[in-house]
Amino acid sequence: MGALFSLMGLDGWTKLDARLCMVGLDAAGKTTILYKLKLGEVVTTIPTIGFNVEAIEYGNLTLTVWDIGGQDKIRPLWRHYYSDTQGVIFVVDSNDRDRLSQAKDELHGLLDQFELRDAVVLVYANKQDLPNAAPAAQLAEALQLSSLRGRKWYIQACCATTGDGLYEGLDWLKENCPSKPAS
Amino acid sequence: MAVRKKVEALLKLPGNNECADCTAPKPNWASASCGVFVCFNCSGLHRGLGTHLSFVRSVNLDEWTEKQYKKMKEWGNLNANAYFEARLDKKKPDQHASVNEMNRYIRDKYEMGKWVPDGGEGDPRRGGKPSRSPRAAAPEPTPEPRKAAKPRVKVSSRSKPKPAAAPAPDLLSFDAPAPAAEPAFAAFGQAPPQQQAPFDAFGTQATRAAPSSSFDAFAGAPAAPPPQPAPPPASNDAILSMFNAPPAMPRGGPMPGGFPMQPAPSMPPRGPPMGFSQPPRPMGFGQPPMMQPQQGFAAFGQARPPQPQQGMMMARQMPQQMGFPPQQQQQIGMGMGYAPRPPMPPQMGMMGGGSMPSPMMSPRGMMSPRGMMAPPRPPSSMPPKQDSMPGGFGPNGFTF
Repeated sequence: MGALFSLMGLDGWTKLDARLCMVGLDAAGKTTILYKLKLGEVVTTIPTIGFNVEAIEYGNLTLTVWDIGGQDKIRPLWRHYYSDTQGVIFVVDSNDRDRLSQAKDELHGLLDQFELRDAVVLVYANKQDLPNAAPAAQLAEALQLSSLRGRKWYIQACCATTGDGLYEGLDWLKENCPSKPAS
Repeated sequence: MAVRKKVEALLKLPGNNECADCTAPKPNWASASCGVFVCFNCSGLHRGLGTHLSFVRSVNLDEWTEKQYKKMKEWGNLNANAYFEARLDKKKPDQHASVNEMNRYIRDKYEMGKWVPDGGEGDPRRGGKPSRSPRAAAPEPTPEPRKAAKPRVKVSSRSKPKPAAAPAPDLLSFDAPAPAAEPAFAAFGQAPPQQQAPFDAFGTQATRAAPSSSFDAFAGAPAAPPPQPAPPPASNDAILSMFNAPPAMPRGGPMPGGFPMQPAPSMPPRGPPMGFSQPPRPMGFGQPPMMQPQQGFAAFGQARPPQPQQGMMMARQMPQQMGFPPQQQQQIGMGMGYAPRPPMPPQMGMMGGGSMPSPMMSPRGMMSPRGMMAPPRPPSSMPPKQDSMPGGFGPNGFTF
């Protein structure tokens, strides 16, 4: 279908949907990213106990992004959001170097889930504006992204409060995230 | 787990029963690096500081390490405020202050260190020790305040104490009323275990039939008698304390979307601590606001409503939009487990409290134009994108 539209020059015209889960350790900036994308504004957030969900229009693609709380004890609940998910946005606090290995474990743990076998992974290396932020390349190493075999992944440095880097991430998703024609 | 319980017990200590920043009762969050217990809303602002300034943990929802516990025990609100507010010369904002005001105050306090003692010696985040531990020395406190009081009479209030040897800590004790008062509190604080015992016992006999668990319940909800003094057996009290004890529920939208009810039953055995497994307390959407007037918006998406009054306003104005319409709620609640395709755009917005169109939000001030989270940073302080965000890269290397 996509190929057909592509041939007809219509691929920028078809409405597409994708469902994404946005997860990461607590205070990584997931909610701030969600609302920066949705509203273009920096909201004052409070810890997410539960989830937020927003439909984000990006070009012809509508991303339904589920932003799920990241507190230690509610992480086991992430898995309940995985099914029918085409992509995972994993948000890392680049400034929180002490917890990078924890973030790595969570990331690999979630990618082991059967339901996410086909999901693409966008890693937002958030909080690049903070003094001690690790650059994306270093984070990729710390998160052992290169060990992800047969998985489309991409890491994007960003700063949710300024919005820098966020749309670059979406661009990648647009190209790489499996999407369905809007119903 | 055990550590978390110990942290929870610290909430009963004097000073820890209210938010270190806005004095809201029953804080249930903490900055493990600053050693303070704060309320749900203030925890959000603390997170905005970055983990290098304040590492926020939930008493109930996070795992605690022994080290973090020790710091909380060593510091706590009294000690930490004696440090962070040593030179505070104005009234601190209370729980009714606007988000902007609170944010400014918290940044001044923890980021700029505006009111720390001269030189900033003894910062809990840099391994400092409290100048005086209210718990460490029981008998000490009584003589000390007198000592401190004497010079105050002789010397004019601002001047330094005469003894040349008096270093920063002494200065601190002059400038700040807090430390002087502290010992008194401390002495008071010494007692609680004993003092409370009869109270608990009383409570036990009077209100409950199950003595052992009721004690736990009191542990969970330190300051006042819990709103629902019916604690279920031990395993559930964590759940209860999550929803009842913290100011979170009434205060703000802690339960934006709420966890779906579905996951609960299928939760792994370790599930109980998180309370989501209690279907009857769906914290979410359509639930008629369990809010208090000032601090509404409990039920909705959280990012939006952090502003108390506004939240209430929303609640009054548009109860319909805010909550899930019943069908939807059901759909979501049941759906989560097996991943319902969420309803598309029109309804979408309603989920997670989400759908308020942005124009409605901005005038309320809870979302700030960009600068609010990081006020003094002009956009230009981010180096040009190419430098700071060298794009991302995937398995095949960088792309720009």
